[in-house]
Amino acid sequence: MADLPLDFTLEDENGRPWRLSDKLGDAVVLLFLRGDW
Amino acid sequence: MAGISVDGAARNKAMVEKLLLPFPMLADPDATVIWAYGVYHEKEQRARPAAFVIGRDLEIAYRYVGRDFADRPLTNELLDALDTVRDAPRRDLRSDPLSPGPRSPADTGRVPFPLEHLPPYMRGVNFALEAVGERLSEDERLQKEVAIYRAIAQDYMKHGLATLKLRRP
Repeated sequence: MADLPLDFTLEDENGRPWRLSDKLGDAVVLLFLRGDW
Repeated sequence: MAGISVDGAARNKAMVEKLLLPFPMLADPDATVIWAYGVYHEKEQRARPAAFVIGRDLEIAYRYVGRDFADRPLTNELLDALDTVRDAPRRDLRSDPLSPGPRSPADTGRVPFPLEHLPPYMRGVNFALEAVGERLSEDERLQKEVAIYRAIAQDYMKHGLATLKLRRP
């Protein structure tokens, strides 16, 4: 596995792009969830 | 904060609205990011429950990868980790494209659990765990596991009820 953190862009629930590096002006919590709720 | 799962945007939107989530849910249907962060569950073809706290200095202040769907990171551990990186100096994160993920993007088609069902469901889980714990009371390791899972079920029950209350007009 590559060194973390790795930058990425994913779509939020409204279809808008969310990029990790744009959010790192502060600490970021990433929660990986099972989904299919 | 952001949540990530293999669900698509429409399913995520329904979840954010149902649970009144105060953070975005990100769609990773082919598990590109889930795979890259090492939390892909091969058999289930979805993410293991996991949490990362990333400081603006790019240090991973907290990493928790659950063994199964009920093995969750603890809120107080997350908050403590956030405290440790509060004043960290900022570093820029390099952007390299990630390799495509291992999963074929597909919606399961399952109907999401209605929020109203969550508290009674978790109450049942809690009672079932209590019964299992009593039947196998001599097994210390199991007792510890039962206690953890019961705390999770009780947490879900409490927060499910609180969310229902918030949603009432």
